Amino acid sequence: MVDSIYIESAVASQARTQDIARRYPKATLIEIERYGEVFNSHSQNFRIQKQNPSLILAAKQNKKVMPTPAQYETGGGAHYYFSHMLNCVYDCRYCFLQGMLRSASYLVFVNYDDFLDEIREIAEQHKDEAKPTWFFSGYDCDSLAYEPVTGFAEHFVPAFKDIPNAVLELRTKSTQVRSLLKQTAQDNVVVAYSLSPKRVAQEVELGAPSLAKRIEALAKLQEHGWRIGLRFDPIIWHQDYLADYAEMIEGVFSQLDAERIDSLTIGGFRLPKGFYKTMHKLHPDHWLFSAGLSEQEGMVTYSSEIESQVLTSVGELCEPHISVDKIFAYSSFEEPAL
Amino acid sequence: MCALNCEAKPWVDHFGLKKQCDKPFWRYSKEGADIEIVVSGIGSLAMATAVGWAGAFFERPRVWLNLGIAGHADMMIGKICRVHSVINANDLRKHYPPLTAKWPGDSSAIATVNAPTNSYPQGAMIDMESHAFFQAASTFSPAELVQSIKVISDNQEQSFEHLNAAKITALMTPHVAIVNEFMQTLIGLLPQREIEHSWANLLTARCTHSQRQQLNALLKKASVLDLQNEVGALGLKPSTPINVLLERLQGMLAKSAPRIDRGNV
Repeated sequence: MVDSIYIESAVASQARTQDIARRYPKATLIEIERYGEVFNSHSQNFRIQKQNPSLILAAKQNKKVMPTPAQYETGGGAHYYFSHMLNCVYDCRYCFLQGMLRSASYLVFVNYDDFLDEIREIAEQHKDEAKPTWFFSGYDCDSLAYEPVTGFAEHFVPAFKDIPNAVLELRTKSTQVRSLLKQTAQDNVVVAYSLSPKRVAQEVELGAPSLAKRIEALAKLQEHGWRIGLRFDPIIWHQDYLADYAEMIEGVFSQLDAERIDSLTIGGFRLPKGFYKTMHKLHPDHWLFSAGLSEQEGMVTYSSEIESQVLTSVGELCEPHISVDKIFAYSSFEEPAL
Repeated sequence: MCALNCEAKPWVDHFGLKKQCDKPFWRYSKEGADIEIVVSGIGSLAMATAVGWAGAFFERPRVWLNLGIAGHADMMIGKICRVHSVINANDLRKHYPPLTAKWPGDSSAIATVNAPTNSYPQGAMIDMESHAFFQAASTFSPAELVQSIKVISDNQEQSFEHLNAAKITALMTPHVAIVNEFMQTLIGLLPQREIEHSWANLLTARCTHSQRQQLNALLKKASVLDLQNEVGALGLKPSTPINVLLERLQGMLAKSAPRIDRGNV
């Protein structure tokens, strides 16, 4: 439950702002000029705020859609990402947002149509390319976890019907799929789930739905005709990791039709050094930040031996189930593991 | 932090605090108590100076709470309010204290002015210290732990001229319990303490300050990973050359996969 809602005066009268605010009738409403007045100031503490985040409703100014890093692709053409929201209702220990932001408030940009205008413009620039242009949502938030409040997917997914050379990928751990199940599946929308073995999810993906619930949601979406993706990223190295990932992979492929899985990505735990230092300070007692990591060229990652071992072995566990050309490995080091 | 002794009195009495000094500021505390109260005097300069003075006593972040009276155009006298935003009336700079700690009552904006006035802003309380308090205290603790609670002492019907020390104390006294509960909520938000380990003797090894920091960090990681036996097996001693100490610990940590089923989070 949100106790306090900060609202930029410029969006206060917008219907979406009012709809969202109405969901929290007991919250204190505080009008602000710009979200920067309350979000991410230097003396704020992410860990403390995470115990009771506020909600901020604002308009995203300037550039709204950005190119993804070159390595992050799943077989399409140009790749972009956008964030209608910063921060997440879940509390995953490995989440880079803790290292990037000092504020844990949910910052929702309500000017959805401005995002869509920019997406359309970019898609138009790529209209003559053979492969579609990908737009990823869910880097700086979970795409679906706050769906009942934001109505994000309900608004964006139908809009992509009219952008045929674009693909929207919704990254999520959420089981909030009701709005997708109410719609007819679209060819140019992929719902990609981050999955971790049961024990890992229980230990480091706090507040997120269990592995079983996520697989159940994936199965429902697949049955309804939606394209789905699997993200084993980050793979968390631990004793018995191989057995844990094997169990998860068996479970996943026993319940999903591998032929109709769009892509599967795997990657090791990796963070920019500055983010790692901040996160380790926030969680000095967590084993995740103490085990097997080393620093190189401004990144903190598993050592090359460990990363290569986990990417290769988890990749090999997947290979019997899914075509190799659908598996994408993100290595922190020069040579990809697969 | 209070501007006046009469604002602090209900809490000094409630906690049985003793005056420790009266210069440069009145400071109340008692042995074994986590709480202390500092009385700054009136105005922004006094408040900022007092916060700086009080902040120097402790290294670790702690909760900072400003308690005091405030005016408001039409709020009822005696009403208690949390401050959810503050504006410095001189330069119009604003601050929004994060409202992470739950507060069961109302909240309001406040304007900080230089001198007592009967001219009340619309929709905001008015005082003479809040803005300085937030600015100064936020240098010592995360902003979420720096909060201000005000009790309405005057309004358009009844101006500040009617106030005296006894009346102010009487206005504050009914709110001791709700404020104490809020303080406990704030204390519950304090960041966790540093990790400790049981190899303090190794830190006496001959080394530079930077090497000692590295060694301490590696030992903390070993402690978090529950590697008591493994560290013991390395046979490290304070007399072991520091580069050997560091290398062996790094080597051990690089190979030690965490066990996630032993409840170590």
